[in-house]
Amino acid sequence: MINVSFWNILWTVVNLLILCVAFKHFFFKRIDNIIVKRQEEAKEIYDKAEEKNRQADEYVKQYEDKLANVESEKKQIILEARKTADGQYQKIIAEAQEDAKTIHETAVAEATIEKNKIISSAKKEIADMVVEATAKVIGSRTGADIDSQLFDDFIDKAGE
Amino acid sequence: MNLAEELIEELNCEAVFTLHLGSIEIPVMESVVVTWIVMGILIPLAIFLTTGLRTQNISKKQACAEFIYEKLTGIVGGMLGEEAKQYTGYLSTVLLYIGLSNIIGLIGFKSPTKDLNVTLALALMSIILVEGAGIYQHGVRKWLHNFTEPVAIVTPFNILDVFTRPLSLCMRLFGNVLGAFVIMELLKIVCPPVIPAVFSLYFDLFDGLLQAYVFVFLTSLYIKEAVE
Repeated sequence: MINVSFWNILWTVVNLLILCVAFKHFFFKRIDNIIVKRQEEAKEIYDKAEEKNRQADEYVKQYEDKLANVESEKKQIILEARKTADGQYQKIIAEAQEDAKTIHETAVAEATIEKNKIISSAKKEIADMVVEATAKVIGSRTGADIDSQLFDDFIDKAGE
Repeated sequence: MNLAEELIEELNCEAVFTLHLGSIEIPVMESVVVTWIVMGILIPLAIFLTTGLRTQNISKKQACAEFIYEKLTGIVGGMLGEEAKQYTGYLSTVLLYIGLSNIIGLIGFKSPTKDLNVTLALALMSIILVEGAGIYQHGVRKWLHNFTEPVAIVTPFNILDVFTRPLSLCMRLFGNVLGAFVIMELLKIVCPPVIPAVFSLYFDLFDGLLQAYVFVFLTSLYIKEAVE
């Protein structure tokens, strides 16, 4: 009962060490590993989720930027269109003015020619009348009479 | 005296067989054989529990294994503290071994812890671990210097501690198991059959596990003190 035996102690120590090593190897290490592995997996999943979240944020930002761009682009386009339209308008107006001017000038020129024609024909007629009147007066009177007659005739003719 | 003879026969630890290694004779005692039985229960159980471990969708077996692991390392690791965490594995194993050794008497084997040599070996390993942890943590100089703490006059007592601690560990465990055994035997003879069963719950089951806990608790306390 209370006899100390060296061999017994040695056996127990050896047994304990074997048990300890076996437990470390088959129990603690294995479960430790699996827990560490699980933690890693959880971390991986978490990281992935984080990454996805970040990407989503990025996309949102991109789309927001795009939307803002669209707004400004719209403004730009409208502005440009307005500018173009304005230019066109000015051009058309200018063309119309030009046209009107041309027409006016042509009309004026034609009118002038017509007028000149009329004047020249009137002149011719007057000259003819003068000639006719002169011929008539010369045919009937002489001296001062002729002159006054001539004048009167002319006045009459012109008055017609 | 029939009773005395019976008790002595129960208490005596006999050599089951002897190994002959050349001229050296190595006796193998009963306690050693029962220790092998304890190992033969614990190791296959550990292997069974930890085969086919997965990280997800764990089986009930794995949940059980992880529960035991968490509890064991929680209890022992908590007693050891942060600095001495690496000794958790050994102390957990010792806890399981002593616990099962103490209650293996219930199924008819002689508890190995009823043999003084086994508790002596356990205490020796504990004190080697305690002093080893101290040396590993502080280095030899600081470890030696710690014997003079807190005042120089206590140095002899501190040195004495190195011997009294394992002795007390060894004797406490041995005495408790032996005492519980003797009381149970006497009870079985004096008033069978119901009353011993009730007392057996305390002396065989509760006290056995309690002593395992106390042994590991004290050892971890010493280790914690040594590495501080």
